[in-house]
Amino acid sequence: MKTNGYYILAFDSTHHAIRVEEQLKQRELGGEMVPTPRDIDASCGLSIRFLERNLELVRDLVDSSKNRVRLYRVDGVGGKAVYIEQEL
Amino acid sequence: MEKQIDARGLNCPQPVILTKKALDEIEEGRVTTIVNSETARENIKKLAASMTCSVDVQEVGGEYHISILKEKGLEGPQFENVAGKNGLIVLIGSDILGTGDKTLGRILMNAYIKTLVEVCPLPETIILINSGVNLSIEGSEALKPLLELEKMGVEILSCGTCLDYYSIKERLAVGQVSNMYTIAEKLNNGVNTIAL
Repeated sequence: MKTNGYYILAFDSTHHAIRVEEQLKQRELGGEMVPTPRDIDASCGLSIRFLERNLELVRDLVDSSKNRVRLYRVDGVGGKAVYIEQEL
Repeated sequence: MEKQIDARGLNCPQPVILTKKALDEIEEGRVTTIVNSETARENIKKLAASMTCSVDVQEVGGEYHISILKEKGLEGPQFENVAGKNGLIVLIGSDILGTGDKTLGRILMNAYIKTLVEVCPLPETIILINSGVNLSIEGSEALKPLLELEKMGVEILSCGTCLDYYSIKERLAVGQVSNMYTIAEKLNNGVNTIAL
């Protein structure tokens, strides 16, 4: 199994996702808004994909006390992404 | 030269892309791709046919072993179209998807284009008109997925009048500038047209 070097934050709240994306942009931490992969959640949600090197900074930034956020490490098996849930 | 690709469980169009890459890397020889869906099997057969390669499929316990033989000097015209001529046209008339809040609409449009890369069938052509041309220029969040789609053979056409109107012609970064004649013809000849 290969680690792709990036993580995904899957948000239950769209507004929360937009807020976090703005904060990431302000801090120049990159991060890209993507549709939540079907393997994580069948509903039409938003996620933010970011690089592993920003993991700790993103962890500090995200407040999951009010809205549910899940963190996944993205691994690859022969070209297919596998999402491994992590503690936030 | 013999190569094997395990593409079981991969989402379309990944099996096709991996097979094409393997075939491109060799001058002659055999590439065997293993898939477990009929859609993937059919798409790979089409790929082989378009590259003038002979193909042999064996079913082994619900999986398909597709053996493709590439012979020197037999390649057809450069294979360019993973997307294929399926007559599926996506007409994007705005950089906003749906009616309602604009911020949300922009997020949805970018999410849609990113998702197009990962689902089948790929459209044959994407036509961008009016503020839709904001998607195909430098700095657009949709640029990377549009470039990937183009690499997979999807034709990307941006309306020249629109690029000019918004003064962004110089910033076009993917596909071709098109005019209303081409756009009208594409839409007339489309088998299935999705207008967003």
